[in-house]
Amino acid sequence: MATSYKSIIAAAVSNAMRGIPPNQMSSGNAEFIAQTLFPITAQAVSEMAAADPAKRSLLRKNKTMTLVAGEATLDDDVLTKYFADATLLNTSNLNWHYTYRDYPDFIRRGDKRYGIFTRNEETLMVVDPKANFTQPLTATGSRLLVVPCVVLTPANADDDVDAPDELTSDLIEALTESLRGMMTKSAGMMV
Amino acid sequence: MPSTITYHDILAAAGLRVNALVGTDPSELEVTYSKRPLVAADFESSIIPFDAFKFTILNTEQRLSTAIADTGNHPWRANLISLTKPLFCGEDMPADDLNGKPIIGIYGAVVDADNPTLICTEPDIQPVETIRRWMLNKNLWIMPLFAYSMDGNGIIHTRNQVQVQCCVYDYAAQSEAFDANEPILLPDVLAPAYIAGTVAGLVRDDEFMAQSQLYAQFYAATEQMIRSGLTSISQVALPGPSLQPAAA
Repeated sequence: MATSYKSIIAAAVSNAMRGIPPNQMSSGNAEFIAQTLFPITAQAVSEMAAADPAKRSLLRKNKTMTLVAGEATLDDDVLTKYFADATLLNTSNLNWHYTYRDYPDFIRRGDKRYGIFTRNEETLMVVDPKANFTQPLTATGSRLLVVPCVVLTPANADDDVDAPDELTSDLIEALTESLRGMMTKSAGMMV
Repeated sequence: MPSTITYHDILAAAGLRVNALVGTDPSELEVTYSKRPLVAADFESSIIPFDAFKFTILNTEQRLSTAIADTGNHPWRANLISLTKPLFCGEDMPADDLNGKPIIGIYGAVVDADNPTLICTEPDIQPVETIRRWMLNKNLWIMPLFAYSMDGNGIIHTRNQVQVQCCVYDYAAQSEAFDANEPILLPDVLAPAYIAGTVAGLVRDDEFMAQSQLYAQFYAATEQMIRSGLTSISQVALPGPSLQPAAA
């Protein structure tokens, strides 16, 4: 069940206020703070979930990348720390398989039976199967990138937060704790 | 429920206490005391003219209204309640309500002008700074916030427009109500306070000094109770003029 952004904020604020002496937190302030904490907490929860291989798949999202000269710009929500766990497909030719390579291995190429891809800053770079690494690259067309991503703040408060239920509850819990001033930089430790 | 006691009921009670009503024996006095409406010809005081009674009764009502309006969440605010016009963030607080009546006392709730059921609250911590941050960086907050703060002469808030609950007292309107012998503005249980406040004010030179002091004590106690948030007006038996020694 998808949960709206405003529902998550309301749940976290309500939970955080439970049992708090009135002189320690104002619900009026909490509603301001909860929203500014949301992206920070979402980032922390996403990173903690991604660190667990069993949970990492929860964060994987499909992204259609249009290659021009073998390159495409990655979206901002891509969790770069776990980019190596991404997969790449050519939906118009599923017989083509791609595997991730670190950049030094990407430019050296290798077994040409597989296509290869890498990340250079915010750029996805792709070499198709049987092709050599060239400068510039030659791959073109659409590819499907399945990659772990952080949970983003939606555009509107009524919009659903794009996160599975398993992470939504973690997010509410972490946001609650952070509102109580208990979350530090190692935010997601409680989830 | 509207009050049932009229201004002229108060007028008769006050007039009786300062021997101002026409009537030389009990039956004549009863006729005058029960007559409604009362007119200037029903009064024969040589020291307190008829209009002074009106002014003093309304003066007492103003003082009672101010005491109620000064007391947050007092249930009798319902008799005085109104709203300001819709206010944008940063507007100065108005002196009059949305109907042009003078605002008195402290403000009540701050409500969203588009939906008065949504009440704004003031952040406990750094209210002005919190709302200022919102004003300068609105995109940081996508969920509607219902906050306000009053600082200096104005109000700042996070809605498009807000209205502030307030109390009003319109002397001109109450003066007309008095002339028309309409019910008093405040609840019936405050009639003793109306009378006490009026009699306390009906003193001239050395006439009715001692009586005035007694009624003033009762009135002051009532006003203090109101300011404490209480609505139970003690029915203290006060001696009338006949039980008072002649003024010194």
